[in-house]
Amino acid sequence: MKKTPNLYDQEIDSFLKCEKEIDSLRIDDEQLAGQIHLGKNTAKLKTKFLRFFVPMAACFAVLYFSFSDSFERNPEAKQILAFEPLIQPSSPSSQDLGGLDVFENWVFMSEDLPHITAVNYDSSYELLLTLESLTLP
Amino acid sequence: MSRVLTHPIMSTLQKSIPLYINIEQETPPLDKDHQMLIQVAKGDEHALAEFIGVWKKPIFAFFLRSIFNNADAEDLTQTFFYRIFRAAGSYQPRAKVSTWLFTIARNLLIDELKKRSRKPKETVLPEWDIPDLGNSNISEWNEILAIELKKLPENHRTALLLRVQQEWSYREIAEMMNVSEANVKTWIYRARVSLKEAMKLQS
Repeated sequence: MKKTPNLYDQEIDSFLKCEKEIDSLRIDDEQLAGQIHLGKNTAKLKTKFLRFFVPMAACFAVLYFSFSDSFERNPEAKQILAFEPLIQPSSPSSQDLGGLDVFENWVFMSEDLPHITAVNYDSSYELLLTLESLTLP
Repeated sequence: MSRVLTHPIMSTLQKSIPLYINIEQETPPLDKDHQMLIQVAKGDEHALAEFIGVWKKPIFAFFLRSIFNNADAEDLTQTFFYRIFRAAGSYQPRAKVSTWLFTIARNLLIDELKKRSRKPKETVLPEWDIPDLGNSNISEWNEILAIELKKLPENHRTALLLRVQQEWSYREIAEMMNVSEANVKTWIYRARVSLKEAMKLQS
């Protein structure tokens, strides 16, 4: 069937108005309004959190640095810092060494060295006995 | 109505000099949409739900005939109401509420179209490039019209939609789109002609 220009216009208008398709819209008014409100409240909380904690963190940082600066400038603090290395041991501590190194040092400083080397280390009982018989340096 | 002071001194003065003092400026009565918008701006959830109920269908129809996909049109409609909720406080009653709403809807649509144009197009076969019209009963005409409408420039399509779908006057459309009425008439005419030509070719 050939359409007249008027019928074309009618067809265009009804297509543009899309009345049937509008009914398929699944947006629930109350639910969407609730979601939007919830979103706003969350955003508000975030803003409040940032507004409170960011300046507070900045204050703490300023306080910390100003305190550490004044501490370093203090003559008493300088003395403490100067003495501090003396307290520390100059030689590597036993913590710096591995377990095997400690054991080796221990063995070599012992007087019963020949006796130890003769022991069969595969047997843990014999090793225990040997260790017990060692004199501590 | 302007009110006139009725103080005895003023009334004696008025007798000699026609002195009128306006206490309140005449303000047009607020329409229902404006009243709802004020409530929405105050954070009234019930007013927002009512506002969504009134405007969801016209806005959805506008998006649906602009981007041709039910799901995307629904998403845009929801985003639109989020935006309205945030911007409700900044509404100035210089223009009609509908003009303000469709300006926001159009901006949202333009952003979406820009985003889509930036995205690399997936390689799809030409027969798959038919607009999705949801689960509605799609007639052959509707398919042709959808394809042709998609080809139209955004301003031609928007002008046509506002005129036919939203039943706006040429003046309102011109005001919203910041162009002259003559421009709007030309765009709508051209849009109609190209749609009709496509239909004629098919028949």
